[in-house]
Amino acid sequence: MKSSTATAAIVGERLRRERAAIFMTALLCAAAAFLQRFDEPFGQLAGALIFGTFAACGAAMLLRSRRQRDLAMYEIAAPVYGRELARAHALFACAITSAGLIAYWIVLAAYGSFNAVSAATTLACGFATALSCMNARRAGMPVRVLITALIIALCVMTFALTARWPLVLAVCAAAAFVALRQYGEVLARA
Amino acid sequence: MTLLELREAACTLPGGRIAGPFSATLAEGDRLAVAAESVEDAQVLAMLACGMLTASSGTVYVGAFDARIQPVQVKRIAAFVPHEPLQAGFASFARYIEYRADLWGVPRAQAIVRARSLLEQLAGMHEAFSFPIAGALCVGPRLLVLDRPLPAHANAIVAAAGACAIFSTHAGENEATAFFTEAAAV
Repeated sequence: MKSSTATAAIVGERLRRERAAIFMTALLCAAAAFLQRFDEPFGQLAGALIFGTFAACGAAMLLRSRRQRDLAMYEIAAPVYGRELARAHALFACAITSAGLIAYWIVLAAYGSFNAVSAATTLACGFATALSCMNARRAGMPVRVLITALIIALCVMTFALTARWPLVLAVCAAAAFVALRQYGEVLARA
Repeated sequence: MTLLELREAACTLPGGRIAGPFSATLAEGDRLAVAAESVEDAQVLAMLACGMLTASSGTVYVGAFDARIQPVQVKRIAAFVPHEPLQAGFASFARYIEYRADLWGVPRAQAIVRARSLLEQLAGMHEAFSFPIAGALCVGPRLLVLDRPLPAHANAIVAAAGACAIFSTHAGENEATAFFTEAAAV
């Protein structure tokens, strides 16, 4: 009960402060979808993956930036376990990624190009990317290169294996789980 | 009963510089102003004392808890007030207190009532400085850790803290003495 209250407070306040960034993410993704409205489904899938990845990386960078220094300080000072804080940060990053990708697919749906499988796999890939990207925050350069390689590999896999969507969802879920655990460990030891 | 005990606690900062070692002891309801060698050391010492930083050597005990092993329990006892004034990010004072109450797992209504009463005691201070103190005290800590507080605020802080122990860090002997003198006068 306490844990969920703290998580809701962290996510709610961060989302409220970053509402301009959320709006801009949704707007840019919607604009990209509008430009791709008559493309082939593969092109739209590639676009969703690219813009979803940008949105996910941007969301992770918002956590890293020093714009909300006071919130970061309160989160560290609060009696919250590392894994709870990691979960809250993950929810924040996933919410921004979702905003971008949902806006993208809504625009395509308006032009009759909506594909539920592609939407689900791009969302899963976006979440895994966001969680992986969050780990770059406190990592050295070699780990950052590895994370970049992982993100590219996830995008390529999602693009190539969308027809086998259960496999894509499973791989993205596994990557997201490992990334979230690792992030929680890093926060707990900080 | 000892509430805070730092035993040769040192912290390695980014860049390899070592802050400390610091040693201090503070009993329940007591007040202690400690002078550090620099601004950065004072900040590190305050953060060590409330479990926000982990000591790379030495030990920090708050209550019966080792800050390295049980930082969450330590943070339930100790509340931190930063040197920097509050940023204008929160929509209102009530929203700020609700945020802190949620983080500390305290009922919102209870925290707001307590915070408003604390604000009245901190009436002479600017909001940017009084809000963080009210926010820290409204969750009912046993130890208030202040990072470089202004000596001019000592009277109001001591009056508002009541039975809560106060540990303040300062960048230099003069500041620490000035704060301690003001606080002792209450």
